[in-house]
Amino acid sequence: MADLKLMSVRKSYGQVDVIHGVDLEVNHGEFVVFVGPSGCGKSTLLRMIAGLEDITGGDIIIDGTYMNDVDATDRGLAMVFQSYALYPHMTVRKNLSFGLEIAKVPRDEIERRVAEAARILKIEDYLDRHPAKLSGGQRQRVAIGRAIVREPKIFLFDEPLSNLDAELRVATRVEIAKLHERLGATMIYVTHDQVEAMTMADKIVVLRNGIVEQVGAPLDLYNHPANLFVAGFIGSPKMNLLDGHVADVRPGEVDVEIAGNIRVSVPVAHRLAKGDAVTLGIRPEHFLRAGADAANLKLTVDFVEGLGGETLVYGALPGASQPVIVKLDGQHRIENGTSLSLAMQPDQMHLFDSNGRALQRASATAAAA
Amino acid sequence: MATITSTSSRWDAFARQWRRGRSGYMFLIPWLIGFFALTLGPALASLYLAFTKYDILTPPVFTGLDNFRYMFLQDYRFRQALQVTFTYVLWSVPLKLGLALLIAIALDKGTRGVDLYRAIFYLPSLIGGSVAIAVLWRQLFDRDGLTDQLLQLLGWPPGTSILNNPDHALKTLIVLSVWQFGAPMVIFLAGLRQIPQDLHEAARMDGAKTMQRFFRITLPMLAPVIFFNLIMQTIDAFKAFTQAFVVSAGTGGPIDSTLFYTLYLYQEGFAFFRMGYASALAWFLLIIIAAFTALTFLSAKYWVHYDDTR
Amino acid sequence: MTNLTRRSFNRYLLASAAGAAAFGGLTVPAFADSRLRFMWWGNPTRDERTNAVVDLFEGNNSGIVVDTEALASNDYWPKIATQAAGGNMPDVMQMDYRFLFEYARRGQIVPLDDYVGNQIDLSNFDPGFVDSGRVDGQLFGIPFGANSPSVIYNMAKFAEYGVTLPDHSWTWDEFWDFARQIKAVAPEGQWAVADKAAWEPAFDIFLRQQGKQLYTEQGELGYTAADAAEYFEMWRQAREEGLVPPADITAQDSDGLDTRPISRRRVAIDFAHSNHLGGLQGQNPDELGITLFPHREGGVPGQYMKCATLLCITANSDAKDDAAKLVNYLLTDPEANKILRMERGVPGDNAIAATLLEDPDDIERKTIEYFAIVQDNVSPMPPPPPAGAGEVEVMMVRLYGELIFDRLTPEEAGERLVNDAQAILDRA
Repeated sequence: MADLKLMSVRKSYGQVDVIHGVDLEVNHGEFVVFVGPSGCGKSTLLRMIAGLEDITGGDIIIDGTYMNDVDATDRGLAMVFQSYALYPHMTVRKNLSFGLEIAKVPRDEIERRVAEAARILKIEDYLDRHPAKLSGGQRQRVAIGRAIVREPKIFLFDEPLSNLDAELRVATRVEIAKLHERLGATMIYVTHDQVEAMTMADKIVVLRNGIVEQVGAPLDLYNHPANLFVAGFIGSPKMNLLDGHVADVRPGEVDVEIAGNIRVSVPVAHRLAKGDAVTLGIRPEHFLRAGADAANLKLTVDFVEGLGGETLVYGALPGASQPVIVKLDGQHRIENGTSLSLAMQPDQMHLFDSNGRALQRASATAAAA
Repeated sequence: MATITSTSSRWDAFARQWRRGRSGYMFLIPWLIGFFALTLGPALASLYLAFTKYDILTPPVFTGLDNFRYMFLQDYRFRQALQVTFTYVLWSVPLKLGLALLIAIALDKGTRGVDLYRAIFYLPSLIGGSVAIAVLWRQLFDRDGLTDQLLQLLGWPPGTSILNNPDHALKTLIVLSVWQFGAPMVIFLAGLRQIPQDLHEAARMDGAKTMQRFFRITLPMLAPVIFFNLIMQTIDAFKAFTQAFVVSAGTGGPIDSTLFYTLYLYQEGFAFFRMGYASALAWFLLIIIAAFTALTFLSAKYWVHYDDTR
Repeated sequence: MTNLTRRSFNRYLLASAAGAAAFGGLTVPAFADSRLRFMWWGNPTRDERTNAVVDLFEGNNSGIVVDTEALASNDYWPKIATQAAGGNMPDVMQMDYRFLFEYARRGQIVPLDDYVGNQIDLSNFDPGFVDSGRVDGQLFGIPFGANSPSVIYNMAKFAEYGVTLPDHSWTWDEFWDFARQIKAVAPEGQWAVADKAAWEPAFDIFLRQQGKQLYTEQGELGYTAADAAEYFEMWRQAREEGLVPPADITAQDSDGLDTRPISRRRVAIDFAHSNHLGGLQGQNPDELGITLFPHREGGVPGQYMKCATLLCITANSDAKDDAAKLVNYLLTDPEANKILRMERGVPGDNAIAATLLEDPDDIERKTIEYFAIVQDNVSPMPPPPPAGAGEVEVMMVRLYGELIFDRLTPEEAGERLVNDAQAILDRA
């Protein structure tokens, strides 16, 4: 168990910068998830922490020790690879014990740790098999087991679930979360799947193009996305983003006009001027179905997905170019092509300035959230 | 037809099978003709000749086990040939494979100009088997040759002709063979490229240093390739002929120090016209090679792991 | 190496064209009445001259086509043996005295007595010389030319060293004394005499000088281990004194014209068959001379003349009469021999030899002068060697190698030579 500090960590290949100066602190026992679209640099950042990639600039400090020039072999970390990278010529037992043998751990201690890991991961029955004889899920467990036995300072996971089928992915996700709880170890986990990030992380680091967009607890990111990118990336279905402009300014509140003629009042702490271009964000789950009188929106319905517990409605506001997704609890009978009357929860609306930065909500509502 | 007997239906099945495979068999015909006429036929003929006395000019005379009795009990040149050949195989194959692997690893690491270097390193294998190179080799190791001059620079007495010294002649042929490491090198290179980078990284994360990774990851992962190269090179080494023939002008000299088994076989058959005995020698060589190959195959299960996870 | 000449290649083309025409149903006049194959072993000079003569022969005998094939002697015998097994030997072949009896007794070559006086004219031949082609009373091969084992020396080196070649009546002691003179002045890396102890004719002459020989008429060994040991001891002393080159140089000598110590300019004196004088001269910028083997003090003459090669007609020839014509042409035609000259030794046809004597070149003059003195110091021609003798010769080279590389003493080598030779003869 350890803490980790990244200070202005950079990586470039020749002229191309892939990581632009990342600062990050990871505390003892934290489960940190790096999330972002492919090519965002999350795997590279992880491999830099592991020592598998050189860093071009900045410092990596683990437990107060500078690791910049320490080889991967000596960092005392463990990594679970996307491909699992099990040694095909070794039995499961050998795969688990390899690192311990290299470290010259006494034989009985190796056996104890392997047995323990096997028990935790329920792979006792195939310790003497070769990886080729295992299913994908079993290999995944062995790969995790290989990390566990080393009792590393930090566990690194590089998209470990992406080769599993959907059902197994969910199950394993839960198991890794449990494992974290049980071991209390520091873990850094890379994924492109924001659901994994939301469900597993103590702290999410959202990356885009080698830049950290936002760091925070999952719900912080959900409730207070720092910018349009995080707003769009976190949450499923995605937050609806509608371009508009400030139509009227009152103390602690502005009126935003969207879709040509719809006015919405948003509580906001920032000073805005009339006519400023803004983007209004509202998550699909924050629409309410309203009677014709209370409704300020009329959605033209294109398509409806009834999922049983909830209903997704795809449509558009007349006069707006961006589509809108609405998530309603329970079951609804809505015909395609009809018009749906909706209201937005004012305290759940997000406003972004023309640079995509989130504008802080007025304090009263922020406190309520 | 009212009734169909089982035989005729089996025949029908065969005919159907034949019709389906016909074009395939047609394509195989040239090879089949070659195999039966040029390989199997002569091989069987030589098996018979191995039990005869046959001087080519007169018909073979069946002599039972005489050839083999002479071979094992009296023929000291046969023993010399075996010793030379085994020495050659046991030195040249491991050295050649070792060098091939070493160069392959060096080339695998490098990124720039690898293709060029690979071609350069492969060159000796292209030309190495040729008579011209054997002649060149002869010049190189002769008295006043390049090696002689180099050795003189190192303080050896002048006039050291390595190739004409019975104590060293075989060594030069081993060196000549090792020098032709290109073919196994290319195969090793392909084998190295097949090892997923992940495994090396996983081993690094497991704390394994370069040498530990080489011995515990690279080598075992290369085992199938090593196994293939080992078999091919061993068989090749047992069959070595051209270089020894050219370097020693066909004599196996000086004083039989380069008397390769195949060279001795050739002398018996084509210089002394003992085709029967030469056939017996040939069949015994086949048995030796088969035994070596079988041993290698049997040992394989202890050290060759086929990675079929991918 | 197979030497498919341009001439014979053209012939193949024509023949296949004729074949195609015949298959096409056209009536064409027979392209050739008979088609002969003629094979020999030799060297580029011999090949060139022989092909030219064959061309002449074809010009004089329209209707006879001769395909020629020339090989190195190492390749020649395996090929001939293989063709014998396959029943497709050439019509006319060059024969080595060594193998004459084997091929004759196995019926691979035919008696030529019926052709003599008809197609083949031997009226100008020495009857005794012709007899060396007889096997069991019948004439199976006609000697192509005579040669004799000889001492070849480098005249320029002698001049350079300021030494004078003793008279050809020299004894072995005088021979080695002369070698010591050379050794005294020769620079580093040069020696007096080539170590040709393992050259069978040298050993044979050494034996014959004491009334012994390699093989008896009955095909048995004609010497003892002690005889061989004495011979080896003589050479061992020469090597110890540095008169002959060390083992590794001797080991390089594979008896080819270019690998001999004299051609590599390591020694001033070498040993070779007299008909190789021209070939060796071709390898050497210095002028070479030829003289007799040293004699044994109180011994008998050991030197002998023998037919260098013979011409034979094979049993599977379809056109033996035409083959005989070719043989006759090669042996007795003045025009042909103006081209062939003495490359295969001194011609057996005395009229031809006389013609060549009229305007000899340097080599021929030396050879003829040499033969003149050999005549007076000659012993009878050795009997044909028994089967297996060829292998004994190879074995002796190997054995001698063990001797010079100090694996064996001369006594041990003598024992081994007799034992191994006997084993080979028994097995043959």
